[in-house]
Amino acid sequence: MTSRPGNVVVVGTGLAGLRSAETLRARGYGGRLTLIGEETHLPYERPALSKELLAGKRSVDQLMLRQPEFFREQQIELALGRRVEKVSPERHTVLLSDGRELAWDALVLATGARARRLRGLETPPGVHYLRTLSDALALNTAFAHAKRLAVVGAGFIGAEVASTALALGLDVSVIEPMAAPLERVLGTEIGMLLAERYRAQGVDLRLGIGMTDFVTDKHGRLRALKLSDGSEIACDVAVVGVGAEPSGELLGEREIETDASGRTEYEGIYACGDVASSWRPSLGRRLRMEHWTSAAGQAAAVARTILGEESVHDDVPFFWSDQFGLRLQYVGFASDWANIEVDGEGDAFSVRYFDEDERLLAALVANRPREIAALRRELASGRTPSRELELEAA
Amino acid sequence: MIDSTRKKQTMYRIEIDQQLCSGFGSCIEAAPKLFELDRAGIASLLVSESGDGAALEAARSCPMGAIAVFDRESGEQVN
Repeated sequence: MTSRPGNVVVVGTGLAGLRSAETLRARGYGGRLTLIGEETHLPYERPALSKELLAGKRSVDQLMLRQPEFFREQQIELALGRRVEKVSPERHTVLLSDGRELAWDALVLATGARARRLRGLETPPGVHYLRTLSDALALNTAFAHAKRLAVVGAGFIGAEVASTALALGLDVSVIEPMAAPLERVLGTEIGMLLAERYRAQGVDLRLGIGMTDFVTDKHGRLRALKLSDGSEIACDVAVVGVGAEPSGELLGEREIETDASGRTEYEGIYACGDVASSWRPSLGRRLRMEHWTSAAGQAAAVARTILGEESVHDDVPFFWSDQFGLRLQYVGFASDWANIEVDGEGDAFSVRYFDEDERLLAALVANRPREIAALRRELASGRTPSRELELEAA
Repeated sequence: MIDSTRKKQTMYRIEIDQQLCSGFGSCIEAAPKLFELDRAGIASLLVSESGDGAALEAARSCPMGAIAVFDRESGEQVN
């Protein structure tokens, strides 16, 4: 954009939406700024939902990323509890569910992702998904009366919910169709290392088996999960954690493709956070990530780029998960690897993932946070920015 | 810029949990006068008390939540 915009609309009140709005102000943007969110809550810390909030260790107030006065002071107009129904890239407008039409010079789509639903199954009362604060509060209430939890899917959300529920004194079963928890991300060997830990702490973990139905009692309440071998797991509450789907439908897509600065193919429209599949120069490919640090970094890059300070987000990917007494941290990106190296065991270990040329691709660290800094530096230094590929892709 | 962080004259006490710090350096970006990275890449404090509102921004920007900021008078955590 050659001139600074005077009217920016941000869609989405997750971390990416908030961070792009606050970075615009912090970098001196003085024009009109509107933040639109489908949820009625002010922006909050999503990672805490499955952990501290569910465990009752933090209240809703303690989850808020900013207090209400911040938005007044920064002159960020909030439109909460409203959907954007339509984006017009030609007319530079958005249509809101309350009938209002807003014009923009720059539009940031930070619409995030939603919990993937089980298709073709009736979900009776007692079955929960966990993505939003409202979801977490509903689950919190359910846990207060529940005795047996069944978790469908041993991904990060599933494992964190199982861990929290176990600490709250519930009986916990987890079923996972893959051979090991987190198998696609961490590999079978490390997944089984985690599986042993889940079981040692008392989780009834069923691997390599799917669920076919929810079983209800005569009042229509959840009573059990029916598994693909015909057996049942008794439960009075269930959480389905089978992944997330990006919410890119405003541009007619699932995920929204961007360059490394967050520009979409439409003039003046940017995307960041969980919905964005952004170009990663150092990886030579586009990648959509559902990570806190990616959302924060992309949002900052988008804000700066809108203001004419060309900015690229290409940091080494990073995420973390707290489960069963382990703080797991993962740096780098490895969709495939040739071999792994494990150091340590039990409560503190690290795993390095290498390609066939013995180049470090990624690392998992359990309860050894101080190793992350060095690993990130090592990963950053080994990367080769591929400008040619970027030009090809653009 | 609409700057609201500096108008209060509150003094802050700042703490870093170095067991949590994973060396992102976002605190140094947010508040270069308050934080530095040591040789191992772990954040440490240049001052333990300050009236600089950037301390709050540093705490908010930390992916690991390793920084705590307290009101020196009340002792209450404010980030």
